Amino acid sequence: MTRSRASLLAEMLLLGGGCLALLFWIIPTQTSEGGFGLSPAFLPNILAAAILLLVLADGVLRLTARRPESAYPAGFGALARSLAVAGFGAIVLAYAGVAASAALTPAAGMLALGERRPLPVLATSALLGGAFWLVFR
Amino acid sequence: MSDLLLGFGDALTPVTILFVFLGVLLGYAIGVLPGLNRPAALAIAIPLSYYMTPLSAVAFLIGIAKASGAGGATTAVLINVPGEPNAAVTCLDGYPLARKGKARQALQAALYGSVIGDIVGTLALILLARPLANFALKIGPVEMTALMLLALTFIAALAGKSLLRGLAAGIFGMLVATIGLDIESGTPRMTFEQVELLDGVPLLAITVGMLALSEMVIQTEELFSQRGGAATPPVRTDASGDRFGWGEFRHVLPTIMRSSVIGTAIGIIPGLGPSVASFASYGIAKRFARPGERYGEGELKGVAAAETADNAVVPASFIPLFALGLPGSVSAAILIAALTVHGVIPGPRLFEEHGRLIYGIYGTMIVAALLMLVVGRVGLVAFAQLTRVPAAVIIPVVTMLCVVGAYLEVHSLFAVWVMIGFAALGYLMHRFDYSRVTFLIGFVIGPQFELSLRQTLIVTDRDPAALLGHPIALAILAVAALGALFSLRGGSRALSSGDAV
Repeated sequence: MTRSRASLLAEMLLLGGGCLALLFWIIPTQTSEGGFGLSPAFLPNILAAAILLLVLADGVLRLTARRPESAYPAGFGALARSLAVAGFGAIVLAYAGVAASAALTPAAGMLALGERRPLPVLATSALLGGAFWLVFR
Repeated sequence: MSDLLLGFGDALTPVTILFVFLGVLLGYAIGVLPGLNRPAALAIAIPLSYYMTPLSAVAFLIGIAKASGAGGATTAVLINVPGEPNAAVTCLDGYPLARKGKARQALQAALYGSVIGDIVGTLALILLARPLANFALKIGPVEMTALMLLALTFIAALAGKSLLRGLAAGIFGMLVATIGLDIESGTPRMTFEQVELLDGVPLLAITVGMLALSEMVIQTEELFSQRGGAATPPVRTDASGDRFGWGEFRHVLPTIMRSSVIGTAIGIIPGLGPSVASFASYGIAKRFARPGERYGEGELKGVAAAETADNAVVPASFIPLFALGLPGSVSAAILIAALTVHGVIPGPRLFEEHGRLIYGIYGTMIVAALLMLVVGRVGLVAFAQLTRVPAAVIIPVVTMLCVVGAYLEVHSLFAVWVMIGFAALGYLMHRFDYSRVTFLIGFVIGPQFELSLRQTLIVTDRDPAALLGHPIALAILAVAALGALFSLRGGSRALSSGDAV
């Protein structure tokens, strides 16, 4: 499977659009005039413009090149599961503390990765929860 | 001289040696564990160093950096799985040796090569960093700005698959580094009215998110795609007749010495890194092959060449870090994070302001190399058992360490959410072939680059013609432009056949 021209174009438009948003919306609304010396927006503007140019140049070169590129990995399932587990760990951390997060996050992660045997899940959870409880109690 | 003696004295205290030992032990274990690489290991270890003294913290991290490289050879030899891209070269001869019943020989050649390469790299660091720092003190902001542009161009060209995408990633890192208070006027810049962002985006949250948690997302993706596939059979390490004696050592010693020099030379140049060193060293060793030596089919020298160069790179890459404040590798960038946490800013003034600490670090690096030999030699078989730990256990445990580690930096959930956000960004950058290493290095050098650039604009009165009065800066910019041109013409692809991170 190779990367289609449409997906390369979409990638270029997405990143280019992000740079334009930075240049014309985010940087102007999120920076003020410093009053003296160089404007605080000076460097961010230069950097955002440089990224835009690089993204466009890269996009044009790849679109005109005849060399095929390998396809993107399929789906975002791994990202969704991993971030869900990390987010769950953060919420447990907020409401129940470090030791509880240390015990429950690995268990949630193992279940998310398809581990269904209770012994490894419970043993990992108890071991890490206990160790962090001893350190942070 | 007194700093030298005091520094080495600090390095030899029992507490420091203990932390080096713990770092080496942890690094070795992490190197052996499938799916965990050096940057991820360092990133999750930084939070553990919060409560240590600066020297103990650096000693601990150096132990991990050095030993994780050496430990990575274990999976390459025993199960034909490179823990890191640079270990792919070790697989070429390591696994065939293991299949022949010579796994122990391959592992010991890798260990001795790693230790010798590491010591040679450390000696180069000790000899070269101070003179280079003295030179750097004499150059002005114009030259420093040019030097940072050169380093970023090299890193962008060599750390990723494309110069343009590498540069975009590095510049994006610099852009993220501008978030916070403006260095001249002190007014907020792109903080979105978040008080937590006034001090900028937390460095550790970015490091842990970009390198460790995003790596776990990638590992999860690989785990899902590999399910159902046939695994490479592990090899036993207790075969009889598999001894590494004086004869074998003499056989590989010339290769080890040559690869030490190659690894050190490559490590000094920002961006080249261990992958390039391993491939280059292996290629040169193959070119020097004697009749009967069959590289790729189980040649001991092949394993020694790859592992020696890989480990020589780590200390050598600290030369531009200590002398110029420029991280030449991702390990060096992470070390900056650790030093910054402890109030130490790397750069040319490091030797004047923290001379004792620097010599202490040198001492701990030598201690780490020797401990690596002991731990690797004694724990060879025990560490091999760790290759059996399933990824379904490693990934969730590392995810938890990322969450808890980001929280411990400032005891703030904000840092945890930032870390998770940058993990998502890191994964997307990986997916679209934008180098996370270059992003991180751009982020680390961003504040210094802005300061130098502002000073340059004042010195030159914003007149480009004034650059003619700075021939060194012009020469550095010319080298950067030539490097970029070479890279665009496809030269980088020949050099970096394996993308680091």
